[in-house]
Amino acid sequence: MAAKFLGQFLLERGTITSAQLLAALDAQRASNPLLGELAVHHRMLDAAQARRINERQRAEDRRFGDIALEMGLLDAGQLDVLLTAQKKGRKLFGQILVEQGAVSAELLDAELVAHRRDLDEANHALALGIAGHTLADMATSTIRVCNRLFPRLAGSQCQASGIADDAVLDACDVTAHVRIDAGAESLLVGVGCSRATARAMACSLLSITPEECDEELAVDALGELVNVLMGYVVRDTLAEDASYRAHPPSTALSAADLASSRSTLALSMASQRGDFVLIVG
Amino acid sequence: MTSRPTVLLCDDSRALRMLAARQLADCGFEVVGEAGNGHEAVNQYQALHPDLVLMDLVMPECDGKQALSRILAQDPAARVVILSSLGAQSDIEECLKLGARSYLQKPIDPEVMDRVLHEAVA
Repeated sequence: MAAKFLGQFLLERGTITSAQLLAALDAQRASNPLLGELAVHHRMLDAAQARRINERQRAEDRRFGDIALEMGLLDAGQLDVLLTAQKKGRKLFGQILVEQGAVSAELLDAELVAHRRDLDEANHALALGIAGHTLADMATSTIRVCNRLFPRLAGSQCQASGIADDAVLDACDVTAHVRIDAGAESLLVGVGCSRATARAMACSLLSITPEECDEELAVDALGELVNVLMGYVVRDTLAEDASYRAHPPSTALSAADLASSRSTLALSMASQRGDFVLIVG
Repeated sequence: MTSRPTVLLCDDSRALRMLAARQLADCGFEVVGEAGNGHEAVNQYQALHPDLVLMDLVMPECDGKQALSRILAQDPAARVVILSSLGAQSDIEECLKLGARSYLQKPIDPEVMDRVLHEAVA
């Protein structure tokens, strides 16, 4: 049992086709623009100003509007206009499926109940799976870091969907990990995924098109993403004055190799950029 | 016309160099060279004599601390700003004692970069 986004859940149950899923995702994306995109559309900011705020968001883990106000690029009235427009246009994924005729309202209601049940069971299984594990706290804290940072780094929500099994680990084409040694202890954070997912994440992280992203760059960007995640984990976990030695990101070990150690825990993660494995140790 | 300050950008990650180069351009700097490790940074510094070096701390082979020492041994007036997401406080202090002008945290905050780097070349 693994937690899934609604679209993936419906696709796997055969309720919708992949074409209907893609059409609904496109429509959802269009109905839910980022605040920066809306600000540019309304000519309140230019593209460079919006990008600068996005970059600060990555560094400071704060909301777009708060940073824009602080920088004096938007005033409170403008921000209200943008937030209202964003809220007004936002559509839920299920609502879009009904509007596009992919499912009836009755079928959607029934599927939402089944999806909720599926999510609850998956979350319960995940909690049981990591309960009592020596890395349970670190895993929970790293999942939280991912939940918080992924929208800003990879332009996508993400959620833990279960403990990664051998099949999931073997399906990872690329894996990057970062390790730090803090006295007798060491911390490890790794991310493994398919080449396609790595490329999608890289394109989002670097704001480039798939044509501009070769495989080497995608793998390198995955390492940088893990590096940033580790930076937040370190700040959450270690004392400010802790002495430790950080190693550069490495892609030398596979997800299966990293997960085979008793001192690691591998979690399946779902994201709109593709599924990935999060390994903590 | 005032020319833009020149920067040598040193980081083992091509992705990071791509991101940082864009931010440096936005801040009014000209990236005149890129290096993927400390050895390359030292060699490029000799060849390019940039106004500033933006140097990653954690790199394979020759790390940022070693490269900083070697660049300052060649040119005590060199302006080097350290960049890292994972540098321990003790490493940063050591770099500042060695002669680094300042320190930037990854992911790079463009406002902080703007202020820190302009102060470093002032």
